[in-house]
Amino acid sequence: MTKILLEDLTKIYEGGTVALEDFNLEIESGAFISLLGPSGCGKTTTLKLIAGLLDPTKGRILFDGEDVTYTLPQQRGVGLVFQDYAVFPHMTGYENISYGLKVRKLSKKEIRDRVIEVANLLEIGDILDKKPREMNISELQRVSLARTLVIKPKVLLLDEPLSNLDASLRVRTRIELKKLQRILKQTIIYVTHDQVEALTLSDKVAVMSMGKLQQYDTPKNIFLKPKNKFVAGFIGSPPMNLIPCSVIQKDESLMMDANTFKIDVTELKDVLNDYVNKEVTIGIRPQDITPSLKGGIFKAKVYSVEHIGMENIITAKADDIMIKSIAQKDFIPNLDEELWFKFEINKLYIFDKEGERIWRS
Amino acid sequence: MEKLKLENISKSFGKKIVLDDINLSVFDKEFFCITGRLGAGKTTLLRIIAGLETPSSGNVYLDGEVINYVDPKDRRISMFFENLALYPNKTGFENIAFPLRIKKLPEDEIKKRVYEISELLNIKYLLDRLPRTFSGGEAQRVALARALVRDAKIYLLDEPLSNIDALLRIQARAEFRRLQRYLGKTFIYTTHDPIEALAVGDRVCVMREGKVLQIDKPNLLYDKPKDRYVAAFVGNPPMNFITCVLCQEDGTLYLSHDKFRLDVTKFKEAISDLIDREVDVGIRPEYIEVSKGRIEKGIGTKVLSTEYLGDKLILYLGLNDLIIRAIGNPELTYSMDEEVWIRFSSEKIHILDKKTEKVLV
Amino acid sequence: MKRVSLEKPKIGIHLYVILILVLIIAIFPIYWLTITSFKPKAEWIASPPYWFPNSPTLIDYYVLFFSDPSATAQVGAAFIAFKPATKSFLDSAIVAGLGTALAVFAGMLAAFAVSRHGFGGNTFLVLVLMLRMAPPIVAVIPLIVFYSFIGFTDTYHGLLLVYATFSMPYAVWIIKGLIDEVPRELEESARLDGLTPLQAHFKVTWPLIRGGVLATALFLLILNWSEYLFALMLTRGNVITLPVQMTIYQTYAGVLYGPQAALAILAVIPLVIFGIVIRRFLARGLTFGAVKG
Repeated sequence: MTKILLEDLTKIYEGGTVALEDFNLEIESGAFISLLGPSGCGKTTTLKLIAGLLDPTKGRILFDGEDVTYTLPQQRGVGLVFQDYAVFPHMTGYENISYGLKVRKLSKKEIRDRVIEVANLLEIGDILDKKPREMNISELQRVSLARTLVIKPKVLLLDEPLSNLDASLRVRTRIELKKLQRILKQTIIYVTHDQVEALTLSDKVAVMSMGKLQQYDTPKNIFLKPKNKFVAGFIGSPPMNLIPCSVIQKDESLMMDANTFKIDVTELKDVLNDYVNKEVTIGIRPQDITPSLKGGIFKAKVYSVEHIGMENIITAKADDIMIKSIAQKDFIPNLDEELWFKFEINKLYIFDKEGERIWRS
Repeated sequence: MEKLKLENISKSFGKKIVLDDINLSVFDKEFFCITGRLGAGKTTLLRIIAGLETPSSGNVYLDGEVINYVDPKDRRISMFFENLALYPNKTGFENIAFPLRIKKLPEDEIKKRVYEISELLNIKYLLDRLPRTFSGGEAQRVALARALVRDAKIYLLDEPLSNIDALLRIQARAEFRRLQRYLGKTFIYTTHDPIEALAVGDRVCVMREGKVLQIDKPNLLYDKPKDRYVAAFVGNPPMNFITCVLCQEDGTLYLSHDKFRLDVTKFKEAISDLIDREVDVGIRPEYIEVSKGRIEKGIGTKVLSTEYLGDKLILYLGLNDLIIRAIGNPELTYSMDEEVWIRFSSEKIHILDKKTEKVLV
Repeated sequence: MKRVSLEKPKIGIHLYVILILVLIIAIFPIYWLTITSFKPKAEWIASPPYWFPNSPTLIDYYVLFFSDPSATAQVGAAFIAFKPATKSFLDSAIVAGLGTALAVFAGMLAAFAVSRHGFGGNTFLVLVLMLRMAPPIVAVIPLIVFYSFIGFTDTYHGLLLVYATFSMPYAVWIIKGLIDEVPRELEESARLDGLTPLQAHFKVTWPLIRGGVLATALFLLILNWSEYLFALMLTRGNVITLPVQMTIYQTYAGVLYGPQAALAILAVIPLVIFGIVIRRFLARGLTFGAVKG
């Protein structure tokens, strides 16, 4: 149960790469938060700073109000689980898990009790005698997690722990992780590039890009109220379509001109008045676009059709713009067929030139 | 037209059987997708087709001729390797040009073809750089370009999307499908992600522990799985299985569970052998109707957990000891232990023989 | 609060002090050798020692190459005619150089066979290494007998083969390790593109392991260049390697430290040159492995 505060954290690597810039984050004690972003966005750097494996160029890290910015990693009480399970191949599961306690010179009995407690929690009681090469991936991963948990860290840091698992195992492990957090009530920081993991697991998600925090909010708000174009285009499966437009005024009506189509947005006059003759970007979720054979807002040629089980994803191309939409599973257009697409104005998101969101219904 | 045929292919390494009596055909210009968990034998199968492994028994036919003993270099098969296998000492250009240089094509022909494929995959800017400066996605595209630049009879792609971020993966799926159509070549593609397989493949083959379980078009695989493994593996969230007893009463057949009864008389022919026995009922989460209020014929369940995905909300519902996955309305909030009612129609269910795990309906 | 991390420079200073100490210890013998080679006889083992030649001279070098009685008299061995050292450089170059080259080449082929084609499994590898487990002296006596039978004693090819044989286990093991580091898919991809397995080894993997192989060659060359036991026992004047030549200066009139030092200095030079020549490959060798899936 530790509250973490990151203040103006900046990390510039030798050679001048700015990995993290003026990063501020407040993590409530006992919260499960995710750092989400594409590779190279600075999320792993943040994790390493919190763990103490790196020194920041600037800024502070506070654990429960106490400055730990330059405290040695082993004195911070953080546990870090890596992407590749760092287990010793020559030790059994038990020896692996108890290793950290042995180093800390705990009594034999206490080591035993704590290993068994963690093993029960992670349901690996029956593989404690096995060597890593006899374990499957999911067991390896649990042993690696158990090794960290057994030390009872105040803060648990997870660096893409699911990325080496295959799809179905990942779904299962995700559910277990969530269950685990409810029992442990530790502060957990989870690094991932997979939005599904971030949205489903965490209380709050910090979306990062190019070393900067883009938005820090609940999963629901991240999806429904993206603060800017980056977040909108990153979240959702498939993510939001973003179409550059210009706002034009014709007599009394306001139009959104995207070259391939125009839409009447007179009803948004109050919002868009300041943007007349300016460039904006409209965003629309694939789920909110309906393709049909005739009638709609714009026409586009089918670029690709993906059957993904309960629905079809249709990618269409109008001039240079690619638009993804979700269709019923029995709607299967031919490639290069021209389709009509429609959506409702109140499903639109509008972003200004800098990418900040200026409107959603 | 049949391009490739595998006939009774088995392969074992020592005592370990990796492939067990595989029979399949791939047609000309088909996008054939193989999916299965880690260790299902997907990669070994590709390696046998490529000639990098010799089958322990069985025959490989290419264009109607047995090629078991044809050297890989003479097979005219191109392969994309999961670890990319880029030559670290060669530039992007030289990596892509490598297969053409081996074929001793004239220099201007090599240039032309490398530029063509680079244009197509948007990697012209990488041609002068060395692989160590590439990001995951860039390296993946260069490796893909090298595999596609050759004029081969079949292109084998081993997990081509496993090295890139989740978001890019979703976008790349549509591109892949388009690419294959555009090139008009035969692709054999493996992935551990069944959704990806459905999205890209003309036909999808599900493998498990060295055996082929089912080969079908994506929609058929999803709607008419042949056995329990395929039913559970393909689809996300996975299918629910509820154990019921099949009862007969006055000429009507119904499934009996202590919480509900479902009339299945219309499936009589398929399931009449199982009367008075336990069967599993499979139902996909999206076909379960969920209601916060009591509904007619609804089954009362308790909310155990929820997963928010933005456009969807996955509900984990407790039905006795069973956890049922269903799709909830993302705009509503479901609190823990809240009672909700679920309902599904017999149109959408699958009935599985509990013993053989075969899907009967 | 701005703070620059202070720990790093502190560790740095400690490290530098230790490094400098180690360096002094390592360099001192070479320094001593160098100054000795420029000292006249009186200063070789004077007590207290001269830390720098008092009256520097090239006489020690001169006697290595010229049978000039007045010069040999100056180093205290007036009546001895030394064989010029020129031949020993040539002989060592032939025997150690070609022996090493043969060991590395054959070792590399064996390493490819083991690493890429699963040849012999672990048994083979251990057997290869066992060749080096017995002390060389064990092999010397049987070799003398065997060589005199087949007429290999005191020949270039005789000694060269011994050097190649005894350094090959190292070559196989080290180069196998290098090959294992290169993902086999690189070669497999090239084979599908139309190369034979052997072509794939040399066109794809060789450029990537070249640095390591040359480093191995340097290591083995150093071993063979300074090998004494076999050279002493298997030659009788037709072939004289540098270590054998070195013993010539231990005369009834005393040990001629000056010429020995001079010879040692000159003997090191070819190795240093080889090291410098392959350095650019070594730097390249270190950068591979940067690309991983």
